[in-house]
Amino acid sequence: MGSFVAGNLRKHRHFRDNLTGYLFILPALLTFLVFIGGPIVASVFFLDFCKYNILTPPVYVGLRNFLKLFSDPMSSTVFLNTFKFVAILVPLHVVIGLLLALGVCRKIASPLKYYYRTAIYFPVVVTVSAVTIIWTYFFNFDFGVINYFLNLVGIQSVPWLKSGDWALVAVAIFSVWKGVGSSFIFFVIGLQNIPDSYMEAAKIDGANWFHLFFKIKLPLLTPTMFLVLTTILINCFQIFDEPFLITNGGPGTSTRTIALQIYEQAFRSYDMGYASSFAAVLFAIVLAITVIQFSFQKKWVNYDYE
Amino acid sequence: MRLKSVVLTLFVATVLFAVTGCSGAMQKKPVTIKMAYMQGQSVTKEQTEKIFEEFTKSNPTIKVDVTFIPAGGSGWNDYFTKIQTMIAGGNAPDICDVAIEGIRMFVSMGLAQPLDGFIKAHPDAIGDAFTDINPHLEVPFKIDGNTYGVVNNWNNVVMHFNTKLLKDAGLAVPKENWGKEDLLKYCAKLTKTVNGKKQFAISIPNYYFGAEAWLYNNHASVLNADMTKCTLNEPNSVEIFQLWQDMVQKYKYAPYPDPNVDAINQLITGQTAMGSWGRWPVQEYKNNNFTDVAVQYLTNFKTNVVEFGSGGTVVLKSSKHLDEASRVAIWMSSSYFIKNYYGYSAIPTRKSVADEVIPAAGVPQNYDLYYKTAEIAVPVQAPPQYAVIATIFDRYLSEILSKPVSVKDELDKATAEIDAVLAGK
Repeated sequence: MGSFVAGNLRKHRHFRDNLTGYLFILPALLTFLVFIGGPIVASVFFLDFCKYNILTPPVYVGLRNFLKLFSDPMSSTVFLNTFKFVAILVPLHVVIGLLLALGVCRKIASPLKYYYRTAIYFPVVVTVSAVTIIWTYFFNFDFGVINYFLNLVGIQSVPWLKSGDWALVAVAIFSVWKGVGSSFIFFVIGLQNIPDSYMEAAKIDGANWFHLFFKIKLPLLTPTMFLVLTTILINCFQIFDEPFLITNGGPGTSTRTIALQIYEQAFRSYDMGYASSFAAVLFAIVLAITVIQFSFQKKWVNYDYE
Repeated sequence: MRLKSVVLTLFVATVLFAVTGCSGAMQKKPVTIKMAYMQGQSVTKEQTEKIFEEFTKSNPTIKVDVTFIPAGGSGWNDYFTKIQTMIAGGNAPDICDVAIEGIRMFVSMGLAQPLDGFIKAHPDAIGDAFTDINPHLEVPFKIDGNTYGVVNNWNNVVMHFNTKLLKDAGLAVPKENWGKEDLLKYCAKLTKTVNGKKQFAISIPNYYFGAEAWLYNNHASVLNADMTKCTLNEPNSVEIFQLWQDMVQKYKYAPYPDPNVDAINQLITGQTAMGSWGRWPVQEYKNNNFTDVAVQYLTNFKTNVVEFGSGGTVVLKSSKHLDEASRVAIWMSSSYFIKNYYGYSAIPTRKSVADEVIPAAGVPQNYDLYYKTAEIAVPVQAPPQYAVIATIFDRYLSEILSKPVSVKDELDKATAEIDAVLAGK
């Protein structure tokens, strides 16, 4: 009898604790459902099977949008460009973010540390459209600052925004400058969470810089690395601001991505159904890669010290 | 007795009801007209509201509620998308600003209300507009025999010259009928390096409106006359695209036009000597106190027709106050509105206002060319699918200017793509 009452009390307390938690996340959950979850469901499970121009009711067209997508020559271009951006940007964000975090977490004076942290994170918070104007002036072939300095040291002007290949590089440089602060800050937090005692013990045992990094820091940073990889990968697949504002997808179609294609179909052609079919395919790709990432994380992510 | 008093009461009640009803009908209820307008003309929202106070003086029962819509990076395209979203969201304005680029889309989607009935019933409202406005400019808003707006502003495409750079090169503003040879001669003389700084002769018009003006002067166009087929790959069109490619890649007379670089600013700062625009750069000239600028007709390759685009206020069919909305829309083509609303960004459609406003601006030097071109003006081709066609056009133009590709091959591909859009595929 006593154990029954105690059990009920435990359940009640458990429920009360859970309820408090759920109430805390309720505003965020409702916002997500209304502004993100709902539109995703509507787009992936409904609109991509319809012809819809915002003003007139959607008309069911079956798989026509997907058949058009797979026969449209533009599809292969935008998918290939997006994969190129993912292949370039993910390693750059991870490696540069980690290197910067390692540099800032060295034993340096606190004011300097705060300065570096602010300076590296600052581009993340500035308005993207404002800084792209400055960067396009940097990249300008004929009047740009970068080419001016290259010319001073005897290097020929680089056609940053004139050539398809270089435009990809220019957008990648801008994207890393603008976004590397996010991965940097995650790595800083990850490095700060590594107990000092581990490092001190390793040093007493004679570990050098190489051992400290590869045998202690890197394995203990793998949870952070996993988080950074997952978020960067998703963001890179959705890359829109940088190519839209710097090159508008050009020259030609060189930097045109899936997200740009969705935008153009939705807000130029007013073909929400066709745009949704691209969104659905992108959603499926990102979902599949995220599932693969989660299933492989057990093999390389180390949660032991937590 | 009782029956008599009941009948009397009923009679009095009926008379009272009728009288009250009549006075209600005679005294019009105040109406608020929601107006959506593109931000970016010379005036602020507050100034616009002040302009409408003049309208309210003569129409005290109509209040105008102004919503300014930021144009966004893609100008009219973004603006039209926002209007459509407002309509879809159940927050449709009663009237909105529409340029030639969007009028056929509005009509084809059944959004625009013809004004002919209102104009016929209220000749007082229209006043002398149709005698003061050059009839050419009204053409884009007359579709299938209906009038969808009375145009209040327009722009053309003419060549702007930095006269200081011309003088430095020993050149004068060319004569009216300057041809391709003259253009190339000017380009050769104006391309140079001065004190280590590059100076280019010309900016290539890397946007549909500006580019089609050049095509027109070579007996070419983006689409055929009834706008059902693309004609970009026809020889006259290929010739102009080839000239642009050569100017950038072969002769290096023109810089590659970066989408975010302000070509008007390049003319002001002397990085380029020529560029083709309408009257909209005048605002930037004034802001920079730039007076070394003159205009001339575009190069006469095979002919000289001046392309234009006009704009007006459209009444949306969904409005619950069609009469009042039409009255406001038509008032927006009055001399008072045009004079006070359109500063330097456009050419007033009313000749009387243009004659007053354009000389007052002071720049460019031979400003009288602006209204004069109305006589030979031909509208830019803007079918209902304009937004997507312009995007395709811009994409292929950027491909041709940036790479040593075959112009004909690229224009064949552009033609196929635009034809598919026109066919609704």
